[in-house]
Amino acid sequence: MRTSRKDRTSLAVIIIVLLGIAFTLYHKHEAHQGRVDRITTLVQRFVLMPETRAIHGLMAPGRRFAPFYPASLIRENTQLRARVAALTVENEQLREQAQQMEEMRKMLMLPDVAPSILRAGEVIALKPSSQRDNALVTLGNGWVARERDIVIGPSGALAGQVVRAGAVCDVLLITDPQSSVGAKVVQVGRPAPHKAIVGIAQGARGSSLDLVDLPADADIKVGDSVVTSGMGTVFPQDIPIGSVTSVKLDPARSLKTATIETINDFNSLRKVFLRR
Amino acid sequence: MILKSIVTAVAALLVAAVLQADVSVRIAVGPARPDFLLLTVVCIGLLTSTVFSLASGLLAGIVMAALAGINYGTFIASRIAAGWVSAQVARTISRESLLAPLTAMAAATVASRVVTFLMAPGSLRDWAVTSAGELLYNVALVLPAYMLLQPILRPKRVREPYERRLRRHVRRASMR
Repeated sequence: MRTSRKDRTSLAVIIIVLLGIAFTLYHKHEAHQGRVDRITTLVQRFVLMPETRAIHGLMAPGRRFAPFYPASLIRENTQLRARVAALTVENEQLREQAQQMEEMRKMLMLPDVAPSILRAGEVIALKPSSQRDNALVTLGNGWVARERDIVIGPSGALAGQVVRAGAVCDVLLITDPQSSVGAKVVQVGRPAPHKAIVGIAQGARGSSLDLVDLPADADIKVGDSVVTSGMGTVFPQDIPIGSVTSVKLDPARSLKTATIETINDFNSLRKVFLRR
Repeated sequence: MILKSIVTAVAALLVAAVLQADVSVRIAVGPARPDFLLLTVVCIGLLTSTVFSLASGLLAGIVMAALAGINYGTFIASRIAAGWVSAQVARTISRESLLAPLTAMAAATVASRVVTFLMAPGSLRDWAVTSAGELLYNVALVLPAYMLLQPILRPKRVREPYERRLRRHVRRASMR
């Protein structure tokens, strides 16, 4: 008995749909066991990583043609070089201070503090889906990220945290609505208040966050800086997040909400640092 | 021919994956951003068979799920639905017409977004705004993508000149 073309098509359709269901169930099973499924690893490591790197590599020679760059880019480059020089000097001073601090800690017989390790990572996928603000980051030299490692942008500001570990790790950006970070306001141009203004910075998509649950009498103004508060177990304190762009008062709840513009540009992250 | 189509489709999906991972967010205008993988699935669906388009939808769904890290079933189902919709459009509208890719892209984006909302519901307003933006961007980009893939996946048959066909017809008739 010969099967018709229509029957063969229907059979193929059923097989494809079943394959889709099988993959979803396999992924769910692996996620339940706390593992990343092999197909996802395969796609990330052997398809995305080499392709993205190859494209970045192809684009790299073009960057050498500085005369063809617009004047604004050359100006920015000059400013950045000056900033690097200033930061190098500042870094040296901080190193000296750290050494002095270390000596003092020894003299006072205080316990050693383990320094945080900073590792550079390359972003191979940035916000690929409109459903979630995430990035896939790969670390060089065979380093493997761990869950809850903190991710910092090139400007030193908070970018997110690792939610799925591995050689290619999944980073939940702070702009995702699922992300919440304990934050505090640092007044700019005014004396610090007696009581710290702390709240929760929740992702609001794009490049902004909402700083919620602030007391109604909190002294917050547009332009104030926002840093991590250190409350909670993931983010240490005083990592810059952004600056306040607007403040709203909810009279019903007697609470203030501030909108924060992030320091990092979350639409053009290429390099990040992972801090453990 | 089938092997060539498979290789082309897989290569197109891989390029689309990199564009989705690296370029999509950089060219976003507010909530409007293209979905390169969906775009490729629609083009493949229009230029090949139903089975081919569904298979490319499955592959695109897996790649997208691997990129996003969430909602695996949603991504796979929405891409398969998009592949099926584009294959149905190819059966109703001539592939030669420019209306085919535009209609297929619009229908596939709507189908994919509806499946996404049904399987992973969220804020209706956010969904509507994102869907509208994605729809506009995808429809704007589908024609160049379609024209790029058409010569490889479905090359136009070169018609013989009229005289030559007539001569051959006469020869066959005389032989009979």
